[in-house]
Amino acid sequence: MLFNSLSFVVFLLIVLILYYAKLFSWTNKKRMLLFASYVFYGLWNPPLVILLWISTMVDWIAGNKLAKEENQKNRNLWLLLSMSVNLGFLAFFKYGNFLLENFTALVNSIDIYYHPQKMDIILPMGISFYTFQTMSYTIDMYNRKTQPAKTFLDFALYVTFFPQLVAGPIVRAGDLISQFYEEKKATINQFIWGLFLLTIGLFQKVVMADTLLADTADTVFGSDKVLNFWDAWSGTLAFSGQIFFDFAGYSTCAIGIALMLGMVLPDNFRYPYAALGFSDLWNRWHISLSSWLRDYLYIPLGGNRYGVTRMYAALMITMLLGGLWHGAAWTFMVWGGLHGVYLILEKLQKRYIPFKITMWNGMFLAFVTFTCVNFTWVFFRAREFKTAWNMITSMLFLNADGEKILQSFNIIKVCVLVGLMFICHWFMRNTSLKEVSLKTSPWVLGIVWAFMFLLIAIAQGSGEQFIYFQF
Amino acid sequence: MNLQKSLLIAIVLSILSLVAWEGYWRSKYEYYKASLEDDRYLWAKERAKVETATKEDVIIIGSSRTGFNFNTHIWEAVQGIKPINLSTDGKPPGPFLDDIVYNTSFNGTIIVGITSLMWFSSKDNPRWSDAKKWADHYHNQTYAQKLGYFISKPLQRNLVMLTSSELKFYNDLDLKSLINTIYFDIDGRPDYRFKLPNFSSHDEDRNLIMFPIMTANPDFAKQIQEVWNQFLPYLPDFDVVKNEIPAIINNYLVVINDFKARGGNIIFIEHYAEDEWNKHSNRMLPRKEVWDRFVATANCLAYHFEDYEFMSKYTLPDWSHMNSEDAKSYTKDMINQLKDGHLTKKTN
Repeated sequence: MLFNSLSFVVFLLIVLILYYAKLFSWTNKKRMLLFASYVFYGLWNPPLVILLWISTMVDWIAGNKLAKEENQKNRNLWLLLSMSVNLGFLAFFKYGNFLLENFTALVNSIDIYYHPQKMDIILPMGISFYTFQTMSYTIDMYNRKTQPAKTFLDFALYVTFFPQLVAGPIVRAGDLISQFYEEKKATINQFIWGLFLLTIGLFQKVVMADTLLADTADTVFGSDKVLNFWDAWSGTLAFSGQIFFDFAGYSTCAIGIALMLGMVLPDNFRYPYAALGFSDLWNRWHISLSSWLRDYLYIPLGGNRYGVTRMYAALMITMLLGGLWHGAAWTFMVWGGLHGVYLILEKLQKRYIPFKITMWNGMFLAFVTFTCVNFTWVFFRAREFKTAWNMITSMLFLNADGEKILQSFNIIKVCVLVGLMFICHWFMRNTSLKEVSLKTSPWVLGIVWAFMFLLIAIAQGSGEQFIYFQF
Repeated sequence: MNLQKSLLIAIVLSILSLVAWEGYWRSKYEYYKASLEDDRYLWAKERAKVETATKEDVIIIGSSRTGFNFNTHIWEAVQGIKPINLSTDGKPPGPFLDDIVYNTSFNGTIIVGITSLMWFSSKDNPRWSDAKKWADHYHNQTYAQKLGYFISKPLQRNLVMLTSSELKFYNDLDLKSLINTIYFDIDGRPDYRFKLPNFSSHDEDRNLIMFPIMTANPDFAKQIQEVWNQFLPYLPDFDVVKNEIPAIINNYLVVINDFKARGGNIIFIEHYAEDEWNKHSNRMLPRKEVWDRFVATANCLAYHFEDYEFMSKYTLPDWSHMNSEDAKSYTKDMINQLKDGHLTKKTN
């Protein structure tokens, strides 16, 4: 089920009525939330709920064993079981065809005739999110960093909680499970603020991403022509805005919906396009994934504990795998690799040519960071390296005779919207929506809210999926 | 921060602005009418009927002319059976024929309404992939989508402001369509503003019903003709496309023969077109070189409007589609023409 659909509006209303009606005890309310979460997921493809159940069961059993088991060998085996099941799901459902294609290419390159049929595998929605979430629980249990869930119901709800089930934020057990232990009820202000966040999230998704930016990105990246400088940049900037509004929109909706239920989810985006460098970017973009990769991949790989070379290698491996997490294609690996290179270059700069960041060079640095990020988005969005290469060369003025495929208005629209987004991120980088709203008159907030709602209604939205559902 | 006050202001302003927005578009009643959108969901609902269709059933596929010219209620009254209407505005019927032949066991009668420009288009035509998306949607739609569609139906039936088509060339009322009417002529960049005024609504059986103003006000119909004239003169000559035609016909022959082999009956009907539509269609796809050749090799019952007076006796307001009253008599005449053994169920 999609947040930007009428069916979700009805679903949420029913859930809220049942949640706040004095019909159920807290345990039964949690059961209702769990059931609603399975309905939320199952209305997309019912049989795939079984994967959720398997993942839940395996990690619940593994977590409990890890809590009690003292024998290190056994502990390793329980962790291995959890990793095998969750990564096995990912390997089969997400990377099955990718692995097969590359294996085929490899054996063909040594003159072995092997041409298997492509496997007809459905990618379960949000599989990368919930497997990472459940793995974080077992790993934390293994490292004795978290307490086991008190009941199976609490754990199952942690894995399946519908606001963040299919596209995050990827929440750690310690941050969410404990919220289920005592009855939660949003205050009136929390509820209204949650509703406001839901409106902002839908506005970002339906109006900004789908209505105003998606077509330009699709036209440019769907073209097989070598494009003009302006068209290439417009397409890339449009995608840059689209993916931010799409994904941040989902996270904002998720946080808002959870808040309406009295639960607090962590921020997933903090105005990332005003980042001063790439370490800062990853502290602001998809925070729950970057912190997951830091804690469960980069640090176990050695982090910065074993010298500079090992640190750079760990960084690069983390970013490459982070790229692969987003999709089963080499273009995603290049995207991750570029971010790895950027991070290494930044660390070198900080070491050998340090400088103090002021207001003015800060803005320039943010602009440079944003520009470099845009080059990485080309590889993220392009389905083939040829398209990506054509785009990059056009963006670097190397295709003077490139085709003009966009209308002038589209170019102006994208430049204005993305320009405003960048400025907005810059001014918001050290504050939060909550802080700003506290200083805003209720009238202004009400008018802005109504305006966003009106545009959502007029945009109508065709129920486009969120981009990150495919990851 | 007084959130309750903000919420109240937002609710009041939202209601007022939505009422004003709806009221404004209701005042443009010549262009807009609240009706169920003829989208992939409504099509899928009709497509589902094929799964239980029998040898006696009739399926209609085709493009907009088929949608406008046939009225399935009249069809039912005359033949005693309501055909399954899978015709689609702005899309070639080829992918739907493929879908019926290869994804169902239907072996009744398929009536294929032909608009040459659509039927004899190659699979590379973007319209072909648009049509295929509808066929795919039927097979892949989720329960959440079905539920969402069920909820949206009463809203679509009653709110003019929800006028929005998947076809990007109508003057629709969704934000994207409204914004896309803006154009700045800078740097000789392309102009994609091909906006066709809405001139029809749909009923729930997917019959396309032409707005009465199309016949009552020639100036309105002229707006549509002017839009046609934006592209008809630029259609390529036959010499440009003639090499593609044999492959297109051969592809159809495979599907047709597979369908006939399992006992299916297929009938082709080339609907009437006038003036500029007829002139330029014939220039690009001359009857003798294309239609006649196709019909001869397909070896199916086929009707061309030039051969039957009852098919070409109408005046088409936009040179291409029939008004709703003419559609009724045309449907009746057509069934009477078909009834002698060509439709599997006897007429009343």
